Amino acid sequence: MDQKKVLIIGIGNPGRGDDGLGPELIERLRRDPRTHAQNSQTHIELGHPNSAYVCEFEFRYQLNVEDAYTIKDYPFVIFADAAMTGDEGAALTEVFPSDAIAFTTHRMSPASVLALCHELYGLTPKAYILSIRGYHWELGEGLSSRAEANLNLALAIVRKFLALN
Amino acid sequence: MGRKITIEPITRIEGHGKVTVQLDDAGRVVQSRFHVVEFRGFERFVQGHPYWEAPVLVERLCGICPVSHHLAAAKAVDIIAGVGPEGLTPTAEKMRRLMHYGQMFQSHALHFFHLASPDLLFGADADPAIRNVIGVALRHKDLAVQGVLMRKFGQEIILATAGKKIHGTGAIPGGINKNLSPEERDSFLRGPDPLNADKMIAWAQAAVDFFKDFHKKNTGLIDGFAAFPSNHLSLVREDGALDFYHGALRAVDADGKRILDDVDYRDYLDHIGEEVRSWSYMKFPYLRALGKADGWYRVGPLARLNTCEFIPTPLAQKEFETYRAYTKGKPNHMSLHTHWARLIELLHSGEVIKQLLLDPDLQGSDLVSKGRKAREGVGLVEAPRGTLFHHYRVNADDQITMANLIVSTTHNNEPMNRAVSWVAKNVLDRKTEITEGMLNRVEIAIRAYDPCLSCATHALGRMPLEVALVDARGNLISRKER
Repeated sequence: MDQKKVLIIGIGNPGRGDDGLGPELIERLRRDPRTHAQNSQTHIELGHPNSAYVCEFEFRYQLNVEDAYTIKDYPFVIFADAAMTGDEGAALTEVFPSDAIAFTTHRMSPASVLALCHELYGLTPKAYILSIRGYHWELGEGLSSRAEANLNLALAIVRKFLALN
Repeated sequence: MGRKITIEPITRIEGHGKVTVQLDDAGRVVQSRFHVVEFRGFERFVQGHPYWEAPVLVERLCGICPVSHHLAAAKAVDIIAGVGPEGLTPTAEKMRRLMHYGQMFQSHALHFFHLASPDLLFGADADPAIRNVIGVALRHKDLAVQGVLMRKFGQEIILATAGKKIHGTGAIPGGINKNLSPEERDSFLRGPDPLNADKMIAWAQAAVDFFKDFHKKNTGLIDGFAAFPSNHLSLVREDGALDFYHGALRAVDADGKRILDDVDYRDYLDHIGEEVRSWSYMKFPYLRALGKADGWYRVGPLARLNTCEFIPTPLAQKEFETYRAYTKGKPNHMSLHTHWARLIELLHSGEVIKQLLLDPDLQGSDLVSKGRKAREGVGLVEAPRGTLFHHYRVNADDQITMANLIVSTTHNNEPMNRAVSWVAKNVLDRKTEITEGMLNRVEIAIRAYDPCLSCATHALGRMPLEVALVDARGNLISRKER
């Protein structure tokens, strides 16, 4: 079987409403019947008999400097996070290393993490931001119904992307 | 027309903050404030939940220091569950300690290598494009690599003890829900270089040496910058040793005289009050014995090394003796010496981690104690940033009816304001041109305290970023939001 390796990082706080979209995405992928564990690895089957992705999942409240180490050995990385503004639905966008560091390392951006990975290890995974629009950010668990719909779109986007790449 | 200079947001500290400096028509500083504008309300949110959920719920406060909240809440609910601090089994206490010192190790490593080091390595006047962690990676790669791996090592300790790197469930009322397997122990003691305890200790020692060397070459800056006398507060062990997990509450004044003489932290309300000021949602704690005006105090590494009498691990103790000798045994009030103190604590944490890993109690199977339930509990730990209180009351149905949290950054609210004022008066006063370097010096002063503003107003929130320019009469001239 032709296997590729991808790391999907769900970013956000499940205790603050739709900020939990990123972590919920990886939970849904884990629970999907088309996802199965084999030899301590998680495989996502894509409908191609000879192709699958070996997926690993990570949950983060926010990205931080050690994530430069986390991502270095993956050819593909998807950063899944809720969006407070922007277009409705969900969107997958390629992201490139950038040394335009965020103002605080409380929350490093995917681009900064990629830049740090490149500087420290000479490695740059092909990376994407999966942005999922959210609406409610108050304390409490559970997604709003609109966010739930966007999450389903995001799941479809992930599967389609993995099938085509 | 007077000018108000606002630095927004403050780079490289957790969460968000706003600094406002107001100048009069002659360019003299008339007022400076460091304030937090978002109200959070986590203390109300936990009410109604069963008390055993508190150690997990409060971790939602912060993704930066969740272990500290987890353990402080666990110590409080231990008491509600009928188990006093001395009632934990050896395995339970030592697993919690390992979790806590792992947190301390990774937090201190993150702060120094990636928050403070850009200023020290490049200087306050350096181009902001390089005065950050990427700049450190470009110019001082070894340091950046070490910082990342030290943080990773601490995070793996947390994973092994708490079950998860973030929002672990390791501590439960009266104990712990897992021990440390021999395989886990060996992975930390004998892991491949550099991810093992001995390498971490060596790197922490190198970090202390780096700072001492930097200090020798920049004594004027490190000693003089934002130096002002204060009271200091922290936990100390019953024999006066530095201890992050448990002890008695001690406060000393600027000369080292005891204000609180090893009191039971469960009686904290008798000794600590909290003042509310109209312009900030963050409270201003004070020692009741000294009153609101004079009772403010510092917490954190600088305070801890002022209140303790010794450090119970050999390498850190040796560094502590050098550190204390610098002020001839008197309390250290120099804000940037917090970095020195923090690195000594980093070294101490590494040594404690190794000591605990070698203790067979971590493989014990007696994990939970039980006792007669109570309606109220107070827990206190020394978090990386300073003293952290959690206080809960419950009803007959075990639901939380009251929660009061005093987090480290809140204790340091007044000291941070004083540090900003110092910089404003010594760097910004009567200047005709405000440079990036001047503004960065304000942030350097605040960063020494390593504030975590997510915790300080008790919830996670996205703070609106506002820049306001007002004239000497308080009239709004200009305003921007991010």
